[in-house]
Order: sequence, then C-alpha cells, then structure tokens
Amino acid sequence: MIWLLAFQLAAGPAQHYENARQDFAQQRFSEAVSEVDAALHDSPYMVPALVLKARLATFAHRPDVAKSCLITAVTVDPASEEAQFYLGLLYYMQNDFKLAISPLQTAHTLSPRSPLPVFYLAMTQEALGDETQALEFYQQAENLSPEKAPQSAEIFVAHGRFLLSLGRTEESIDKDRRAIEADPNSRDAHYELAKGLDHEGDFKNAAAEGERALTLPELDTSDAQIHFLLANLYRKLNQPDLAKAHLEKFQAAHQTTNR
Amino acid sequence: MNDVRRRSFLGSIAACLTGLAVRRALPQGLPARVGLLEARAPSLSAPAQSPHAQTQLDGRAPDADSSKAGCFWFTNVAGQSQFAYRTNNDFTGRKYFPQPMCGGVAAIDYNNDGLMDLFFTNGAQLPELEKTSPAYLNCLLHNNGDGTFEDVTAKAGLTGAGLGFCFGVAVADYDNDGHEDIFICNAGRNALYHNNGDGTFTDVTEGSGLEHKPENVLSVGAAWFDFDNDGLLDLIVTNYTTWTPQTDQRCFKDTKVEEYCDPTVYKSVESRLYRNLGHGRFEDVTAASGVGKALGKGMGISIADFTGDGFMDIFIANDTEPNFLFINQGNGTFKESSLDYGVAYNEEGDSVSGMGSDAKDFDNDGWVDIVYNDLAGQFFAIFKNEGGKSFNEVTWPTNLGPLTRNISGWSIGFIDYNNDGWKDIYSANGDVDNLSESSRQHDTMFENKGGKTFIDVTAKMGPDFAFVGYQRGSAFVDLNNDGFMDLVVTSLGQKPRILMNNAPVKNHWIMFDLRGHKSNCDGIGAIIKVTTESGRMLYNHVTTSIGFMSSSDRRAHFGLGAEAKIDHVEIRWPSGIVQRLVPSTVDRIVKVEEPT
Repeated sequence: MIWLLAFQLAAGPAQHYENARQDFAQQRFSEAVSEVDAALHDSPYMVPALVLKARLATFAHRPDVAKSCLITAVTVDPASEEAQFYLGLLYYMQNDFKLAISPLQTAHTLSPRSPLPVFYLAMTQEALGDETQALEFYQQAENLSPEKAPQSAEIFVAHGRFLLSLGRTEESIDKDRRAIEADPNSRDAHYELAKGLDHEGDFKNAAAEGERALTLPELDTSDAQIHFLLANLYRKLNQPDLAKAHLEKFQAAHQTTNR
Repeated sequence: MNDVRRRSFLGSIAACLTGLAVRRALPQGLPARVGLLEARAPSLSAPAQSPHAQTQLDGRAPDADSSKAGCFWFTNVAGQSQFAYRTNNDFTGRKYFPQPMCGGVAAIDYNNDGLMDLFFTNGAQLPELEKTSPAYLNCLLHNNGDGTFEDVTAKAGLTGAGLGFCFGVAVADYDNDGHEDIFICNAGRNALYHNNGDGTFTDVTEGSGLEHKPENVLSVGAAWFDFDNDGLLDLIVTNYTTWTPQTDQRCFKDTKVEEYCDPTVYKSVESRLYRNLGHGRFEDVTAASGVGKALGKGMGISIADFTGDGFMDIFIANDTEPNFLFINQGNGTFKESSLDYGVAYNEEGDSVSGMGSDAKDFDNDGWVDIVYNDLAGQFFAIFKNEGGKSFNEVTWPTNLGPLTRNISGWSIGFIDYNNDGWKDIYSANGDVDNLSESSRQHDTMFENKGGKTFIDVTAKMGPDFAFVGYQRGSAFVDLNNDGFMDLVVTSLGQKPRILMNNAPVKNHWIMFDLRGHKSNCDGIGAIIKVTTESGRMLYNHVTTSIGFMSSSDRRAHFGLGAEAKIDHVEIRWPSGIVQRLVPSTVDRIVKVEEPT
C-alpha cells in the first residue's frame, strides 16, 4: 500500500508534465501553465518542466520568470542541452549577447550535431559585431543542417542576409539560391534574393523574385516588405504604374501590420 | 532618439520560447524557423562594438599612417582654451527620457570679425528642468584667431539661465541687419536671441510669435530658410513629443536595470513652421502650410531645393516614424511626399531611429541628395536624387550600409574634409544608453570615392577625432579660414572637441560668403555651381542646418582637388537672380553681394 502511494506520488509530476507538454503543443497555454505548475509543485527541480515553464513565461511576457526557471534548470542539471540552449536563446532575445554565448556554447558542446545552438551563436556573434566568428558559426550551422530542408533554407537565408549586410552581395546571392534549392517555397529566400539582385543592379530579375515571394505563404517576410521592395524596383525599371500599385499595397499592408 | 533594439521585443519574445514565432534581436535579422523556432523579420537594432571603438577602448593608438606630415588630420585644440562648458544632461543614474539629446552646437560669427565663433546649448537639472547652477549654462566662445577661444557668454547675454533644458540651435540673420542671430529649441519655451551688433544679444522671443507652442512639446531642432522667397528667413522647428518630468515614463531591462524608454511609448507631434513677417514678428503657419498634417518625432532637418523649382523644401529625419519630405508647392503650402519620393523608409519599408540628416549633392550631378543616420544595426541611409522626381536609396551600392551596421549616429553631414571636390560623410556617434561596453563610440569619416562609393578613413583622422564617448551635436566650420573644414563636436558629460583640420594634402579650395539684398541677407538657399577650368562641375547651397541640433558655417565651401583655376561660378539666389562670376584666384574666401 505504501509502495502504491509512493508510486502515485512519483508518477504525479511526470504525468502533469506530460499533460503540460501536450497542452503546449496544442497551444492550450492556460491549461499548460496549470499542469506545469502542478508538476513543479510536486517536483520543483524537474528540469524539463522548468524549461517548459520558461517557455510559457516568455509567452506571458515574463522574461524574468523565464530566466529564473532556466537558471534553476541549468544549475540543477548543467548537462541539459535543452535548458542551456533556451537560456542562451533567452539572453539573445533580450539583447544580452555576451551572456548568451556561454549557455549556447555549452549547448553546442553537449549536442555538437545540432545546428540550433551554433546557429544562434552565429547570430549572437553577428550582434556583437564579431564578423569573423559569426561567419564561422554560420558555416558550421550550414554544415550541420540536412541538405534539403526548410531548416537549412532558413540558415542559408540568415547567412546570406548577414553577407549582404557586409556588402558581400555575390556570396549573399549564392546563399539565397541555395536556400531556394533547399526549400523552393521559402518566401524569405526569394525576398532576400530579390534584395541581393537589387543591390547588384539586376532589377528585372529582382522584381521577378519579389513577385514570386508574394505568392508564397507569409512567415517572416511580410507582404508590406515585398510590396515596398517591388515599388522601388519598378520605379527603377521605369514602370511607374506598377510602382504606384505596389506602393499603395504597401501602404495598405503597412497600416494593418503591427510593425 | 531612443534605440530600437528593444522595440517590439517584449511583444514578440512570447513567441520565442513557445515555438510559435521568434523575433530575432538583430536588426537586419535573419528570419529563421528551425525546429521549434521561428525568427521574425526584425526591426530591432543590435548594439555592437565598432571595431574602431574597440581599438580606442583598448587604448591603442590609431593607424600610425594618420600622421602624415607629422600631425594627425584633426587635432583637438579645445584644451588650449579656458572655458567651463561641459555638455551636461544631469545624468545621475535616474533616466529621464530627453537626457540623451543634449549638446547643440553652432558656428556663428557673432561680431563680424571674419572668424567663426562657437555657441553651445546645455541641459538642466532634472526633474526641475532648470539651470540651477552654472554647470548648465549655454556657452558662447569668441574665436581669438590663434587657436584659442574665450568664454564671452555672460557678456553676450547668452547664458540662457531661464531657458531650462536646451536642445538644438539655429543661427541666421533673421532680420537682415547684417548680424547673426540665434534661435534655441527647448523643453520649455523656445528662444530667439537678437544680435545687437555690439557683442551682446537680447532675448526677443516675447511678442515675436515664436513664444507660443503646444504645451509640453520638446523642440529639438530648427532651420532657417526662406520658403516663400520674400527675402525674410522663416523658421521650421522639429518637435519630438510631449513630455514633462511628471509624465516621464520609467522603463527597465529585465525589470531591474533602468533604461531609456522606447520612443514609441510617447506620442508623435507636428513640426512647426513660422513665417517671418518682418520687424521681428513671426506667424505660426503650421496648419495653413500643411506642415501640421504630418505627425512624427522630428530630429534632424535638412533644407534644400530638391525639385529644382526654385523653392526650398524640407527633409526631416524622424525617430521610429517615417521620415518627412515636405515639398514646397510654391504657394505657401507644403505637401508631405516622402513616400512618393522614396525617402520615408529604409529599403525594407521600415521606419528607423532617424537622427541627424544632411542634404547635399554628393555625386556632383546637380541634384541635392539626402543622408541620415540612425542607431546600430539599422544602417545609415543615403538617397540619390533622380532629377528632382524621386530618390533611389543607394546605401548599398555606395557601401554606406556595411560601414554603418555597428554605429549609433547622431549628428551627420557631408563635408569635403580633404578638399578633393567630393563631399565625404562625417557622423558623430555614441549609443543612446549606457548599458553596454559598446555604447561609447567614436566618430566616423567616410571618404567619398568619386561620387560612387564611400570608404572608412576614420583611422587616418587621428586620436582626437577618434575619441570614444557619447557624441551628439556637431558643426562644420572653417575656424581659421584656411579652406579646410574643421569640426566641433559635443559629447555627453565632456568638454566639446574643437577639431582643427590639419589636412596633410595640398588640394585647392574656394569658399563663398554670400550677402543677399533682394534675397535674405545670409543668402540661405542660394545654389552655387562652380565650373573648374577642366570643366568639372561642383555644387553646393547655402544653409546652416546640418546634422542634429546644430548649425554650421554659413559660408559655402568647395574643395577643388588639384585644380587651381575656376572657369566660372553661377549663383542662383533665392530671389531668382542668377549671378555669374569668374574668380581670378582660388584658395580664398570670396565675398559675393547679390546684384540689385
């Protein structure tokens, strides 16, 4: 009987956590919060639950709670790649770039085949202005990513975008093209390629890429951004009617977008 | 004014760890959706250490190559003079929203001795908003002509003791009496100082029509120009928002560390346009002119005839709002046309933290272009004027983008620092806040290579130029009349730097000191075209409004490169009079009277 009670107590937090995880996956955030709190009530140092609570806290605009959870998690289990990664990510998102490096590095060490920690290391180094390091990490992230996958496309796009900001337009365009190879339906990749071609002075092909981007599902690159780019491109191509039309669409989209 | 790196962040960080969407912290961001993560296209800026700033922080000397001819290109001579002025925003830890904007600077020959003097605005004690001690007073420095300056503020009546927190300054002879006057933008009432011609000034604001402005509006910058070409200088004033110490909002990073609030928490307001009626009276024509229709957070103002129709237009850099381009309709009204002309947003269609601006013809094609700066991660922007019909952003083709990704700029301007005939770009830099070791930055000089691209030549400018701090205002001025433009720069908490241009090159130059008669006395708005003996054509126009919160040398400067002869000069006065000159020699300041 005592054994059964002990089993139930032990199984309790795990079950709560599992429920929370499922609620979270289905975007039932209130339920997820209740479940994860119950799990942590019974088992305050349950690392996966701490990480999940951190993610929920972030959603609730409580980065302070998220940080507290993640710091507890990495203190309890420094070998938790997930906790280290999310802590680094949280620092990154808060522009605490220097603080982000250590947990991201640790996550990278713990999971050297995962592209995510090294990808965020690249972005962190980019933010810190260390171009050399950033480029190295972007390359590593590329190397760790599967050949043809949306994930790879995103990394190529990010890498290309950074190269574009450095004025290395040809290399940037190459990355954008590889992103499109990896994910032909990547709106971001087509948009970035359009920008790169614009910088190169190839306005006609840039406009074609911009038009293609407009037909793809909106994720990160908004319709407004693409319309604005197209308006400028058609102006350069001396097609004022098209430029005007896209400018009007930009204005309409801009007003309805929370920028 | 504030940096945008945290803007939109709290609203999107939610998505970050939930696996819904991640807005990345970087400005030119990478959109990423990797596994559970997504990164939104960013509008945020990232603070990043400028390589140059790092060099200075490390205490290493800049490139030894900078000391050709035994000296650095720019040398700070401020230390040779005794004056008390320090840019004082009363930073004691508690962060008040307007504090980062402090230290306007103006070049003014207040006593008509042919030597440009200097005037500085200053902050006030907070939250009182009063100049409670001499440490907050404004400052007028008389140029002694020997590299030293004398503080004549009190004698001139320019301490501004009753003005509270001062921001920008604009210099011009508004009453055409031959003496340069001063307008000061403030948190409280703005102030117009009339130059009495005897070394003193009188505050003539009361009754001028300039004393009224909407309650609690922060006026940041101003520019004198004659928008109706009636020979009287009118005034445009950029306003930032409404604010008082009592309504000041407090913002914290991670709930603990206080930071300057994002500007978006404050409301946008209109700039104000005042028409000069003569006899020291001004009429507020903000509404009647159409200028009042556009709400923004105005910072730098640039005045030029962008369309070539003979009427001065207005460009205003806005912080976190689209920029304004007010096109003068020639009938007393303006049409805000920034979107149609392509200067409202950056290339991604985003508003940035616009700070200072300048409008000059950087590629010598006869059309006035625009440059503005902003905060780290956003990239400065340069717009090429396409025949007065529209602008193309050429930030990337000119290489300005990569040069500015890590810089937070405030004042900015085109300056031909080496007199090669191509206008280079100077920027006074330093972050808004003091939260990272990369916040303190040094100024930058980008050399114009044939009107096509810019390269970073900061390392050649010398250690005084590369001072690391929170630079704010700047004036371009030839203090010793040697034909090479000097720089005066304010920095929060510091004595201003008076950077003399030692130019280890022998390029030729010419400068025009215009006197209008039918046009305004300063000749502001006059367009000057210099055609050299070889047929090279160079352009400039008369304005004092350059950069941020600052007022530069009124005289129009031209570098001529190796050419020592000018074929002819054409001056198009605001009155419409076109004057042709044939200067017999170069390397001199030419006084030009408008024909009557």
